[in-house]
This record gives sequence, C-alpha cells and structure tokens, in this order.
Amino acid sequence: MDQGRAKATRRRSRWVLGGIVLLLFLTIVMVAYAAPQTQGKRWGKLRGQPIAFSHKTHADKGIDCLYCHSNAPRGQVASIPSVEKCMGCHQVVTPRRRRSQMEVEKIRDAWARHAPLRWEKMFDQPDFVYFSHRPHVQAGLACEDCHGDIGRLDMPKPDYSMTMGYCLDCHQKQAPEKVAKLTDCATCHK
Amino acid sequence: MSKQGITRRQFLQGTALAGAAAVISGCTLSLQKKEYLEPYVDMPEFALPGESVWYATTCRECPAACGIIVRVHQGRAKKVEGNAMHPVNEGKTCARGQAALQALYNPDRLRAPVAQSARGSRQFTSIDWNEALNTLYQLISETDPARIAFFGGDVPDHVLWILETFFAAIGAPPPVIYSTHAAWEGKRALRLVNKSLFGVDRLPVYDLAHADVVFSFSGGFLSTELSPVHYNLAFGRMRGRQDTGGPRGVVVHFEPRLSQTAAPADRWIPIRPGTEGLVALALGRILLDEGWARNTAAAPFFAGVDAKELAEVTDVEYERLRHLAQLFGQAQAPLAIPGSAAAAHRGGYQAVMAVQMLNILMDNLGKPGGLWLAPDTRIDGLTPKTEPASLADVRDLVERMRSGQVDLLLLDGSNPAYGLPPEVGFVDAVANVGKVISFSSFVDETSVWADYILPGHTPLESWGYQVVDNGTDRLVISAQQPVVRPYYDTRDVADVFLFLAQALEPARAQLPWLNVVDFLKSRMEVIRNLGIPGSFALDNVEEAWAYWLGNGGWRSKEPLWSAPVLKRELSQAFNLAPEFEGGTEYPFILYPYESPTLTDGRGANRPWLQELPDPMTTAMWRTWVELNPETAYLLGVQRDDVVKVISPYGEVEAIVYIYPAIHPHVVAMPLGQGHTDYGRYAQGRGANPVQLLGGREVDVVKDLAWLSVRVKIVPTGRRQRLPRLENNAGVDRAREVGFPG
Repeated sequence: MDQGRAKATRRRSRWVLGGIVLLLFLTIVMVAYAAPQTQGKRWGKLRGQPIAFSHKTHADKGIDCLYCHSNAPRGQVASIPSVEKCMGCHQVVTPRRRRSQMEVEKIRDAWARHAPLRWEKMFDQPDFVYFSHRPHVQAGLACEDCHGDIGRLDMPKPDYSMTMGYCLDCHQKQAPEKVAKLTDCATCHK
Repeated sequence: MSKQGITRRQFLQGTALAGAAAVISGCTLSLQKKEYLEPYVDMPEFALPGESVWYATTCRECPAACGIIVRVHQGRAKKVEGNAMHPVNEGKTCARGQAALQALYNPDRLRAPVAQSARGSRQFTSIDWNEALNTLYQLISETDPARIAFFGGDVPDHVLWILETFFAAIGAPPPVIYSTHAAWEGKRALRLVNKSLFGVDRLPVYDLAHADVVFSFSGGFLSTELSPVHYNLAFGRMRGRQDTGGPRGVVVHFEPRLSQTAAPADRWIPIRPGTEGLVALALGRILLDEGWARNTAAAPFFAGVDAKELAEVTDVEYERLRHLAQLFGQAQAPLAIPGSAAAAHRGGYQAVMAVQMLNILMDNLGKPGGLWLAPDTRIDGLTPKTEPASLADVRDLVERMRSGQVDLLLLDGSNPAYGLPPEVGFVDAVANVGKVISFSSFVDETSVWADYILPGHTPLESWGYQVVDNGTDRLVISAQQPVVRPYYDTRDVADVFLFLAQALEPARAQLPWLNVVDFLKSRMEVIRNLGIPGSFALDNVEEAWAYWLGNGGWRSKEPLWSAPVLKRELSQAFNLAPEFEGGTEYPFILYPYESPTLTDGRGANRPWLQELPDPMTTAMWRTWVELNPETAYLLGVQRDDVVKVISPYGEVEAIVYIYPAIHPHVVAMPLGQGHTDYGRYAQGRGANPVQLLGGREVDVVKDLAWLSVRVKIVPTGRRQRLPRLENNAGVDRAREVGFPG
C-alpha cells in the first residue's frame, strides 16, 4: 500500500513537473516572439510602418507636436497627419541623406497616387475606455507627460504602461474639487 | 486509486496548469494585437478625426421635404436623423428617410456615364464625362428645340427652375413633370378642389394637432400621403392632449380596408370602395337636417341628397351614419380629411370636394383644428412656373413620341415604364424617339430604354433646395447639401445644365452661374427680396449661406398659412359615384395601395425597406393579395397559395394573405415590387399591380384613376410561403374560426 502511494506521489510529481516545464516553454516562446518588437532600437524599420519616420529628426527642427497631431487639443484622438500635411513641407524639403530621401519619396509617391499611408498604432486604450486628448491637452499637460520623451526617439515604443493605475495616479493628485469626478468609474468607462 | 491512467486530482491539476498557460499566453499575445490607422490623404477642412460631424440637409425619399441631419464619420455617411429645427418634421424621420443611406451605398448604382449599344439590351459601355457632355451638347444644339422633351418626376425645385429656364431660353417646350407618387396620393385633386372652392392653387394643411373629432376618408396621412412625418407628430399631439387634461382627439376612418392610418383610429368604418364622397354627402345631409351644421353656405351642394339611400350604397347603416354625424356635429373642432382613394376613381374630384364641404359645414376654415391652405410656394426665381402635369399631359407627350415628333427625350427622377399602366404606352412610344438620355442613378425600367445614362448624384451627395408645399404653417425653403463627397464619377443634374448653358448662347444670359453652388448663393438675394422676416438675416450672402447650410434652410418666422375663403356659389353635387371596369366575370374590386415602405416602387432597391415588415400584415420581400377569409373560403384558397389576379388589362401572380379587415368584395395589393430592372434587391421579386390598371382618368383632375378596375382570382395550384414576421396562423387565426388553412 505504501509502495503504491509512493508510486502515485511520484506520478503526480511528474505531472506537476511536466506542467511547469510546459509553462516555462510557453513563456519563453512568448517572450521570444515579443522581444524583437519591444526591445529593438531601429524603430523606423518596424514591420508594419510604411515609412521609417523619425520623431527626433522633426522635433530637432523645432516642429511642434501639435503641428502634425493637430487634432489633440480639439478632439478625441490626436490624429496622424494626412499625406497632404507631410507634403506641405516635403514638396520642397528633401533630406540630405540618401536613405532619408528614399523615405520621403514614399510620401510623394503616396500623394501622387492619392493613396493613404497605413500606420501601425503604438499607443492604444482598450475599447471599454473612453479617452479623449482634448481635456488633457487643454488642462495643460505636455505630450511627454504621457507619451515619454518621444522627441528624442526615432519612433515611439509601444507603451503598455498606460493602465488604469497610471491614469488614477495623476487623477488623484488633481485639485480636491475635481478628484471625485476624475476618479469616478463612469468618467472613463462610459 | 488505480495504478493505471490519470486520477481525477491529476486531471484537474493538469487542466489548471494548461489553463494558466493558456491565460498567460493569451495575455501576452493580446498585447501583440496590431491596430492600424489610416489617416486621410487630403483631410477636409473642419474634419475632426475620430469624431462625427452632422450635416443638415433635406430628405429626398419623398416630396414632403423633411429636414434631416446626417452623421458623417471620417467622410462616410452613417446615420440619418430628423432635424429638430425643421418645422415639417421637428426632429423625426420615417423608415424611408433612414434608408436614404442605401441609395448612397447601393451596389447597383451607376458609377460613371454609360452608352447602351442597343436600347433595352443592357449592354453598357462606360464613357467619360467629356464625351458624355459633348454628346449631350451636340444633341441639344443640333435638334430642333420644339422636338426636345424633358420628362421628370420628383425633381427638386432648384433643378426644375434651372431646367425650366434652360428650355425656355433655347425655345424648347417646358419640362413635363409627372410624379407617380403624387398620383397615388391624390395631390392634384386636392389642389384643384382648393382652386375651385377657394380660388387658390395650393395644397391643404390640416391642423390635426388641435382637432378633437377627425373624419378621415380612405387616407394614408399616417403612412405615405402628403407629409406623413408631420401628420404622425400632429396625431401624437392630438392624442397626447389628454395627458395635460385636454380632450383626447377621436379619429373615425372610412376605408374598405384596415390600413396603417385606419389601425390607430378609434373607429374604422369599412365602406364600399370609392364611396367616400357618398358617405360625406350623407353625413353632410344629416348635419344640415339635424341642425348641427354651423355654416350653411355649403347647403346647395347637398341638395337632393337622400342620406338613407346613400347609406345602402355605401354599406354603412343609416343609424350609424347619424350617430357619427352627431359626433362630428357636436365636436368643438371637427375636421374632415379626404384621402387618396377618395380621389382615385372617376368621380374622385367631386368626392374630395364633398369631404371638404364637411369642413365648410362645420365652419372650421382657418380655425384651430381646422382646414388651412399651405403658404404660397410660387416664388419667382425659386420655384418653377410650370404646373405639374396630369396623366392627360403625359398622354400628349407619349402621343408626340409615338408619332415621331420627339427627337431627343431627357428623363430624370421618374420611372414611367414601371409606374404608369401599360395602356399609356410609354415603352412602345420610346421606340420612335430619336435619342433618349437619362440622368438616373440606377438602371431602372425606364432608363434601360435610354441610349445614354449620365448618372446624377444621389440625394446625400447633392446640392439644392425644396420649397415645402404642405405640412407646415411656415414658408419653408429646405436646403439640401452634400453630406459626403460624391463616391463615384457622377455629376449633379443642375451642374450639367448650368454647364450646357455656358456653351449655348441663348441660355447663358439666363443661367450665368458656373456651378450649382454659385446658383444657390445667388438665391439668398431672392429670398431676401421676399421681405418676409425669417429664421436668419439675409443681408450678407456669405453669412446667410453659413446659416442656410447650418440650419438646413430658411423658414419664415411667422405662420404664413392662410384661412380658406369660399369664393363661389355652390351647386348640387354630381358624378360622385365610382365606376369600375370589367364585367360580371370580374367579381372583385382591386384596391391597390402604396406600400408604406416601398411607396410607388422607388424604395424597392433598399434592402432595409424590403425587410421591414408591412405594418398591417407583417409581410415583406414579396407581393401578396389580401383576401377576406370569407372570400378565400368561397374561392377555395388558403394562405400562401399563389393565385393569378386577372383584370381586363393584364394579369399578375401574388401570394394569398388572408386578411379579416377588408371588405369581402375587395382584394387589396401593395405597390412597389415586380421590378424587371432597378438592381439586385428589386428585380425579379413579386408583382406590379399597376400592370392590372387601365389608363382611366379622374374627371376634371385628369389624373390616374387607380381605383377603377375589377379583377378575378384564379388559383394556380402552387404554394409559396410569404415571408412575414407574425406567426404562421396569421392575424386571421384561420384554424380557430374554422376556415381551411
């Protein structure tokens, strides 16, 4: 009987061990799959982005974020600029570097074909969250407060830290008369 | 514990681990879910990405001209709602208005101008607009102007004004404007009766909201006639007065069939078809005899009338008529409303007059809850001077076409090949016309006979205006603006004629505008010159234009409807009785009616309207024939049997629907189906009851007398399930009452 119980215990341990190994294996696969997209350095070459666009290049020239993302102070989404807006400068502005010239050519080509550019979304909120840029920008927040130092990066990293806690951290620090509304569930989960 | 296999505990542990692994992997993978953003190539001014924009415009699904606002998201029209600032519909819409989107997105729309190799061949070749306009220009400039004809239907006022000016300038006859929908709602009879009695050629407006006893004579004012959204609102207000302590309005509806308008009435009185005028005569006689009439100016009209005799003819007992007359005569604000079927037989003109006489007898002209006349909509520079044509005028045109006197026929906004009885001979006559050009957005039964189709924009892509001719106390000039950029290579009909006018010397001086927007802006001054205080100031054109687009048009501040004044001595009524074609072998009277959704057939290519159950029968997608259970029993047919409906003029097949709320001598059929063209949702579905009609005209009015044929019903032995929402037993509950089926 004792022998039988010992056998059964060993068998169970093997199952548990097998499960842990499987879990570890799956985790490694997941991390390996995600790694190139979350830790790479050359963001402009990201699979899915139509143009190796550099925020740093444009911010260094002194272009304000809101010049391109002009919808942020007045709308729900900040908006990606239209091809027409890119062409506003790039019909006359051609970069010096050959590789950059090729990227600008892609915009000119899209404009000539009247074809939209398809950008992969880097910052997102789940569908059950109602978020609008307008009150945040109008409250005086800088883009960098939430989006990080984008102006010093070529392409922003996908940011998964914009969680509810992240929002509430800031909402709770607001003026006392605003806190009740800003921490109310229905403010964001309409 | 077994030595072999897995124990329950091990199984659960394994499952929990696998589950945890799946959850973790799922969470990790969900972070990898990619979403894409596709910004505009060229962003429209004022567009707010991610947020909807609402544009005010005018509904063109029927001529009532309700104001609508359309939600547009990223350049795509999404939803139609009523414009709360519009006096006609005050923020409400109907199902047909909602379905306007399905004209815009219809997959069967013509996407560019086409030439047809042979008429009726349906072999179309795309051409570009340069070629299309050149062809049109050459045809118009080289054809003798007297041999050019324009046939239009429900064309908006701005296009009509431009067309009329254009044709007058080049010396061509004025456009022939004939709307089959107007014929089905009896509009011409209403106008002509007003002209005869009150001396003004305007439509009536009924102050339904303030009436307390309403007698409605075979009318569809809650479904398709005149301004249905307005009258639904007014109906609600009339009933809703009881919530504030007022009297609840009472409605009595006389009609051979329980229609959508009859259903919410307090009493439905089934009468013999076409006897509405006779019922009105009998009621008037009783009102006079009993001393309940308040104004005896109309008494001569009722001279020699024997109410008891009429009670027998109309199938309503005399006592009941007397009781109803008492109800009407003792009401504070009685109102009589003549409906379309009253005007749809040979004696329709006098029948409508008889109903309006009841209003005169009760002295409700221009009083709260009474009969009013719509504001004058004949405005120089805004509305055309050309009268809407009668069926007789259409026959004249068809005769000219048949005898080869028309070399160039232009068609817009109408589908006579489908909507007019075959006896009128439109299709045969087209064969003798030199060239035919249609501006239709779809290949329908009429445009299929065209040599060229130069598709216009759909209404949600078009500019324009419509002067509201009934349904409100204000003068309303309802603005139409594109809510989206045109999706295809189509062109506004107004723009086409303004363009041609630039090239044709005599028309250029009359129509100097380069495009329709310039033309519309110039109308601001015309409205200002009316000198009527309105919803916004018109001194500065650009400022007025902004209000015009934002508000959905202009309206007068004060009510401009007028009280009718009897302008002539009245004489005895005559010729009110209906006359039906077809001898004794045709035992039933055919009672066709406009479908509340498909109307005269124009809604058939909108799947939303096709799948919307008919309010009375809950049937959809097909054509049915309504039979009284008694009639069905005698004919030996059951529900869902396919029968032939045969008139002296033609025959169609329809599915039997057993309907207890119809006079046993009457069979009713909805209009709208039976298209042979008009796109995938419309064609090859159901039957067109117009095929059964002869070209009989209403006396004086000279419009289509659609209630004038008898039919017989012949079973085919086949069965087909009629798609419907109600349960299989139907409203008749056939099994319970013991009838077969």
